[in-house]
Amino acid sequence: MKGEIRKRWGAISVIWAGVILLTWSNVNSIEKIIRAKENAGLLRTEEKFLADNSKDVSEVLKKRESLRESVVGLKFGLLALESRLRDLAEKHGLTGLNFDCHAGRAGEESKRVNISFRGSLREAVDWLGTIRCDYKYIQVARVKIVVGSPGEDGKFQVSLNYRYRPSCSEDNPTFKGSI
Amino acid sequence: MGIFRKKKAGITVVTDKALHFVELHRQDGWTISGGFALDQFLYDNEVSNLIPGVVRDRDNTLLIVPDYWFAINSYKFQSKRRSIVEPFIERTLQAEHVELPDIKYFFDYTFLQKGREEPGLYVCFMQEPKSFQLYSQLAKLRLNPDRITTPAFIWEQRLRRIIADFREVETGLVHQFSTETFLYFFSRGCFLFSRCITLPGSQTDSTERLRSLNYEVNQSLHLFSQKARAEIDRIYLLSDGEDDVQQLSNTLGREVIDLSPPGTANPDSEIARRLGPVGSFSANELSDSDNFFAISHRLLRKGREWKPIQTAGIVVGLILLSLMAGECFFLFKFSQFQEQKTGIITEPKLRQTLREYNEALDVLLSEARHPYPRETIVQIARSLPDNVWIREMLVEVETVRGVELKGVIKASGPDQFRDILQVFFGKLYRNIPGSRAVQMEDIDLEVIESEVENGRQDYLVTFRLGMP
Repeated sequence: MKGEIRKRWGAISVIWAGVILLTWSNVNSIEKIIRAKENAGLLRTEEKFLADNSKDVSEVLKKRESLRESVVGLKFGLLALESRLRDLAEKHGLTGLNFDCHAGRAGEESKRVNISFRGSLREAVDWLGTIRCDYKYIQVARVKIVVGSPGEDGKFQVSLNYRYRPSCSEDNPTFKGSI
Repeated sequence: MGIFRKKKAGITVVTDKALHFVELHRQDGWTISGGFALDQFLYDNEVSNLIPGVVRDRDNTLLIVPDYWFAINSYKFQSKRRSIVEPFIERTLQAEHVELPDIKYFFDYTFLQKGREEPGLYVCFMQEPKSFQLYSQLAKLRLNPDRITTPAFIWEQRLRRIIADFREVETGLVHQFSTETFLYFFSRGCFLFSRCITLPGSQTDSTERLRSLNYEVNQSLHLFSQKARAEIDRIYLLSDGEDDVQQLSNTLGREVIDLSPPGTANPDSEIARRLGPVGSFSANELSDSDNFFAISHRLLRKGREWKPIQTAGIVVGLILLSLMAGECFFLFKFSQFQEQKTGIITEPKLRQTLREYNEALDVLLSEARHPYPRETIVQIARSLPDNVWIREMLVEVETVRGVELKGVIKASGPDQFRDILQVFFGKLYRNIPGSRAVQMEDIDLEVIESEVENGRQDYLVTFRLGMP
């Protein structure tokens, strides 16, 4: 009798534990299904959004791409940058351009470049404007202007962040086609 | 699922010296499937091997022990609350029978209220030390009974059925066997006491036997009147002899009512010989359903009280379990279907494009928020009053955003200098929205002594303008 009572309690415990476990599992499954349904709805919306706005999306992606220059390697990228900036400074009448940069570690995606030159404030401002419009991958971080006296050319020190995307490792560059 | 299987029921009958396992049959018959000398059953270690298989495989519903193994006490007690009554009885029995620690598990009680008398308790309990040993041995062999009773209580139930006003009168019963005679006394339907008298053998003169019986009955009637404080109203006799009723009536000098033939008695004299007074009862009378007084081990009784709740728990649990299992299966299938459906939509390329688009938007937004030094320089240049020119300017737009300015102001005196400075800051704040106001104490002023032109003094001003 006592053993039977114990067995009955055991059976009740097992059965009710099963009930609780199944309830918990079912609640979880229902939540999962609801989430999956919401997800599916969201995905359908996103799919429709992409279909309707494919042009805008590709434009945004392109703009984002333009914020980094794709280079074979950082050294090559910096060489090209220096050349471009010198040309631009010359074009804007700025003189004595000094380009200072240390090659960084592979894997970094932004490099600090310090430039100094001489010129009028107007010319320097135009130069900065051209950089902003045409060289999206250059971000100006700091500008220092020192002017001796009114009418004199100023000395400019500009710190830039050169943002690039290596298309292959610099440590072991692989060239495809001509540079 | 053994817990739901209904086993065959059987009873165990204990006499003074023997123990018998009795099987009850549906056709109101019974058979004895095994028996032991009581001492052998209690003390022989090998007894478990001697138990017949049929006994092992049954529900031991009832144990019938000799009447003197039980004792009855009455207590005056006001309360009828079980939670108060039961601890009271336990305490009382333990105090009265210190040598029997298990006595607290083997008692039962009913409430008494006779007329205007104080309410009380009619407590019946096991008092024979052997009875506890026997129960322990039966429990060890997994043969412990659900209920324990005595022949007197079964008689009580039978008399209740036969005699219409049994509960209202004081009753005595003489049950005669060849060598033994059992005397039972009931007060208003409640068993009070019994006696077993061994009379001289059958070959002895019947007058001598009657005289002995008369003496014993009279002694018992005297005891009854002391215990019940009442006189016996009726005496019944159950005997095989044809003239016994008349002879006993004459000897006692009062009417004796014949209770034979019992109608339900077992005619098998061999069984009656072996089982004693229990042999007089039918299988139906001994079945579990018959409502005679019996006691159970307290723990077993508690278990029995829980049984309906447990059954309900199991049934409800099983129903819920099957419903939940069904739901679980349905949800599993539905979830699989959902996954397949979603899987078609969720193409990795689409996800990738969306992620890239979101990242691109974040980057472009952050880029748009990034201030440009060119704009700041232009706005500062626009803010310069006529008499001010900049010597040094440092524009920072990274972690610490702000402009450090060192300029020269030409003024005729401090008043004009202050006015020019005010105009300058006014324009700065207007042209560079969000710029933080510069406090006077944060401005370094210096008079350039050598620079005096047209009565105007040059003042060197240095300050930092915080930007958003």
